Amino acid sequence: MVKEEIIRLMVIIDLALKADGLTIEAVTEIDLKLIGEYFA
Amino acid sequence: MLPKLLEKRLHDRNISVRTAAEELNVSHTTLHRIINGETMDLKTLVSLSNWLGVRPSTILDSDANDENTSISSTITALIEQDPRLASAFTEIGKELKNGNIDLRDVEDIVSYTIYRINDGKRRNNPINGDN
Repeated sequence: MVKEEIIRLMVIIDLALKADGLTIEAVTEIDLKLIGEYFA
Repeated sequence: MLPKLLEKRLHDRNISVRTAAEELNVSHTTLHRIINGETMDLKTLVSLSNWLGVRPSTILDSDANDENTSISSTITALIEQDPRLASAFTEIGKELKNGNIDLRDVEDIVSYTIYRINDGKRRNNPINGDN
């Protein structure tokens, strides 16, 4: 199984490439919502 | 790499692409497209990795697996290429230091980053993309 932590970090990569100027705190807050989709 | 892995898995289990797609919860046309080299999203990558029992970097088959290139130099090159990645890799470095992930995990993430960057290039320059 792909670890949840790896998926979280891949989502951060996705968001970093999509959104200019987001702080890591903002990215982490956003990605928690997205991660919910993978583990629902 | 992915087509060979899938072909072997289908053969070993004696199932069709359509059945595999059902197990992966994607349409069979989506699975055919992925087999033919079209981009997949993160959710599909994770599903495929789990279904095949391999690491994401094995599926993505990127330069991050190159034994002649250190992972740190690859990360440095990625950040130089796209500075937006700096804070993301800072976070990844913290998780590595804290022991929440290991170097193989970082390879998976770097492979994914390369995959996403190359996908962005293809989208921005479709004439030179893989067809």
